[in-house]
Amino acid sequence: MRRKDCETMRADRPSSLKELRNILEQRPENLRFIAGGTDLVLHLRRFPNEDLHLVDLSSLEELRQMEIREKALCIGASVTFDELEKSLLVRRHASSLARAATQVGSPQIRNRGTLGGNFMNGSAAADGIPPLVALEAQAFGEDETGKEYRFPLEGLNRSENPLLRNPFFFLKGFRIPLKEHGYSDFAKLGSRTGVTISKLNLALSCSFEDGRIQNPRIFAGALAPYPVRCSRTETLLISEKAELPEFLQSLGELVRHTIPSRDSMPYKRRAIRGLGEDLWKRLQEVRS
Amino acid sequence: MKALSFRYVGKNIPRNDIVEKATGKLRYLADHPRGSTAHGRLLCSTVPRGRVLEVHTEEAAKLPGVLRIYTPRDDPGFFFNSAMSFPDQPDLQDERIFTDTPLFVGDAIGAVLAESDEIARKARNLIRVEYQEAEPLLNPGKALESPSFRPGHPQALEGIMAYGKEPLSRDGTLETIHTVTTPRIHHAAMENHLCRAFLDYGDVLVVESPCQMIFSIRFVLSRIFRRPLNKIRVIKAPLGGTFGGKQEVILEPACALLALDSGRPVRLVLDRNENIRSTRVRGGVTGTVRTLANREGMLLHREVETIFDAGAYATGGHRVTLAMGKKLSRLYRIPSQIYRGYTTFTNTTPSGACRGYGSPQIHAVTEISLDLLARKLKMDPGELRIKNLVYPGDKDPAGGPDLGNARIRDCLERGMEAFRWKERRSASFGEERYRKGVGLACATHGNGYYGTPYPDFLSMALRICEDGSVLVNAGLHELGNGTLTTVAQIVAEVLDLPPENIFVSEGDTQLSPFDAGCVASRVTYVCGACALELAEKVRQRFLRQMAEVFAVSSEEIRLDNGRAFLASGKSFSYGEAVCFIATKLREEVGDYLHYKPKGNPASFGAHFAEVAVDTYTGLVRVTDFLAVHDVGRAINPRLLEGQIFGGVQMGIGMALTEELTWNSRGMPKNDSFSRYHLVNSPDMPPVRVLLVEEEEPGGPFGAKSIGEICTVPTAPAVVNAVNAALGTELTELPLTPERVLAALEKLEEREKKG
Repeated sequence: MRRKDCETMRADRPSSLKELRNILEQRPENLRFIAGGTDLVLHLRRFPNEDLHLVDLSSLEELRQMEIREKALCIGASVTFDELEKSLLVRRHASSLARAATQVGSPQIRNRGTLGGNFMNGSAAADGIPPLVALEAQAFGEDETGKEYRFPLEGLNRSENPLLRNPFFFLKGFRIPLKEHGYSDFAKLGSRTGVTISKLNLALSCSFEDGRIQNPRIFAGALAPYPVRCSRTETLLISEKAELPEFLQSLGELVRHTIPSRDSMPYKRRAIRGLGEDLWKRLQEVRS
Repeated sequence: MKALSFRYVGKNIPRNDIVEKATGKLRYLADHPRGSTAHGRLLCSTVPRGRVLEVHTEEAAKLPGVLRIYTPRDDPGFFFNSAMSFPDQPDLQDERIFTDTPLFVGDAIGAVLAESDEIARKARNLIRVEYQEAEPLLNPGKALESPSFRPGHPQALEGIMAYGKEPLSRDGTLETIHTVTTPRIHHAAMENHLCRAFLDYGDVLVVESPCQMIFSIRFVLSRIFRRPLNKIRVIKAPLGGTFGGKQEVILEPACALLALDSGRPVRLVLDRNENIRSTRVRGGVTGTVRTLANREGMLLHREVETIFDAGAYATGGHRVTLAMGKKLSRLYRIPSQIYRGYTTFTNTTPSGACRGYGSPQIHAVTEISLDLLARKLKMDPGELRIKNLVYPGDKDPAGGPDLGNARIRDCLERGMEAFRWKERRSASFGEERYRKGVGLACATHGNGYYGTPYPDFLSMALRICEDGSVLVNAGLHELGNGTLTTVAQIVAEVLDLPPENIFVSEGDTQLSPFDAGCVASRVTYVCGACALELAEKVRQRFLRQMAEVFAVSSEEIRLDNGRAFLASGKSFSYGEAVCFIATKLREEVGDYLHYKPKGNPASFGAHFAEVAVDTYTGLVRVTDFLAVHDVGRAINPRLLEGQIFGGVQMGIGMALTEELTWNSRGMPKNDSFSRYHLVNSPDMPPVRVLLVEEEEPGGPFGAKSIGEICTVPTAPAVVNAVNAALGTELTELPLTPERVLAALEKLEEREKKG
């Protein structure tokens, strides 16, 4: 029996998907999933009378896997940033994501915070999402009826997506398609070097064919509610003739177009060049 | 420097609480078990200015475990000032425990008392408050001209200090005018504010608080609750950082009210966001400096005007304004000066004491403008300072206490050499994305209250026990900086026994002798000198008593590492000697001393910073740092260095990242550590420390203060380095990436225009 007085928090910690499904079938009131808790616990501290029913996903082994499956790198939703940072698979097939993971919060946050939580929490400044979008990742999960879903991350309209608005939908993980000669990178800008929220971040993915850049994908995070694609900059990369100043200018233009009237526009328009140059230089090193 | 052979002074004695702190055994107030304690949480205003019309407590009161909900109706109706410590102080009294007319977001309007902290927090979130809102005053410049939002209290206070006459002739003189602004800053002690209060011995109100001034808290509580001072017992609790943030009386009145009303022991705590919103901040300053100098770089005249944003209440705000003015005549020999300081009030978190008490602000204002003057004179900023700095033995032309053995010249000259200043200053900065530069700044601060309106005195008792251990009964406050260890080292040196055999007490208003408080950089210079003089007094008494007991002359007795040696070769431990004296003379080996300082010399520091600026992102990184300090004598060099490392960290924060801001509706924009950024370890440079130890007369073994001065020159040194690296004239602190890029853009535009 669950007591419902004010000092008791309702929480379940399913140890298998079956248990989780049993809980979800009941469609419990005020359900909230918790994984690392690095956002939710702060929220609860500030709003202690929100009477939430917490369901802790961190014990589900299925959500903690990292493996190659069907030509894709599959990363469970409860994989922590610390695990992403240290995983050889991630470093090899999604180095941008590993790089992003090293720059999230503090070691304590990285020990607890999960990639799934980073996505589901929906912060515009989430560092894990631009690399996933650039890598053409898909998310997969299931709802309370047991129906499975898989959807691409790119171009998602978070606030109007019925699946993301369904409180009983739980994310199981991400699928990153493997690419031959693939390359990816990430750079971030906050107000200090470590333990900082992104003011801007930039993720790149591409592959190489005979030293030529193929299928470049560049996304800027923390600029809009969801990562923004830098199409013009990508075109420049393919043209092979592009030089660094043009490349940087195109990024500045993107900022100006995306947030023309925001107070932070003049700063971000200039500062994105710093991230652009970091990506550019590393890209040239890899090519040569 | 004379040759000295100290046994304990100048040695890196491990601090007295190092094991407890390192093993987590030290029990802070937050670690105490619940027992019968009731838990309090403040109900704070969510509007920056208004009137509380109604507090709807019905929902909250229904929660099981809620003991009582307090609203403005429960306020005792007494107005106080949280910075006052004596009844004759003229500070304006405008604060209440629970106000019905909140003046900033975070102003306490009530509280919840409950059986657990969780219940108290939940209940608080269920309370709905209706306000009649008024337009908040947020801009300190505008606030100066506006009608007061605190009825009966002035909206602006003015302080003027001046000496000498501005030269009439302008031949060959150069004039510069600069305006520098400094941010409002959160103290960021690791331990949030908290307090415990209960009734004991019938009707003694006991208040345990991690604080800096027990007697000041006692005074304010006695006024509010109309209780005799001897029925209020304030005990200094173990403290996890303060930096001035716990100097004023903040949570104690509310906690005492809850305990007196409920009859229960009450624990009142704040979370970080409440700490940032509701306690105190370092006040922000806008300072304008007009300087006259000749072509050779001699300063001829200076005029400084400051506007100090004291926030919503009087507190110690105007004291800071005056303290800033007093620093101006104690660093450079300037023939004439005028200081006009204005304190004004805005609907934001009140200002209070914060490490340096105005010194970091006023030195940022003057030291940044001095570098810009050097630029105009085409002179090395180090050279410009050397031409003008004070000398040992100088008097304060504005009438303050004499400067004492002022060794700022040694600091600067030795620092310039150790930092390879000239070489690095003339190195090319590069046109690439990253530009490097070096900067320096000098500063001064005080050693106590002597020469100010605030009384500076204390007493201590010292006793050698029957086993030879020593008790020093003092009203001290260990703030984490090693005060108790330092005092033990001083006593150990005089009595010649290991410091670990000496227990130095912290303050308890029922049990300790009076002490003004561990504030104003007074502890080592004033309290340390008291301990020294008292230890000498006890030593003489001990020798006289032993001479009588052993029938020898006291000159024949030698004290050595806890044993007394007689000329005959016989020796006794201190404990044995104390027992002989007790048996034969019926006397205690101990004494009591009243002490007041006879001076307030200046402490000095010169800081040197190297920075690398990313001209793409505007991020500044301090890449090398040297701190040189005139400390008179280091009693414990390691503890002293620890102070400097922390001071530099705070100063870099003031220069680069730390700034509390409110939006146009008066809401705090960054009341959490995810939005308020200190400089953390990845961004800290290596900090080298160089000490100038030339002995300050009046200080124990020549020692003087370090705790505040060490954060004072940092910010201007860093800003000067950035301006040197970029060729900018950045004067709005902190130098956020946004401000750095905006300044670069302006510079580029100007260059384009030619």
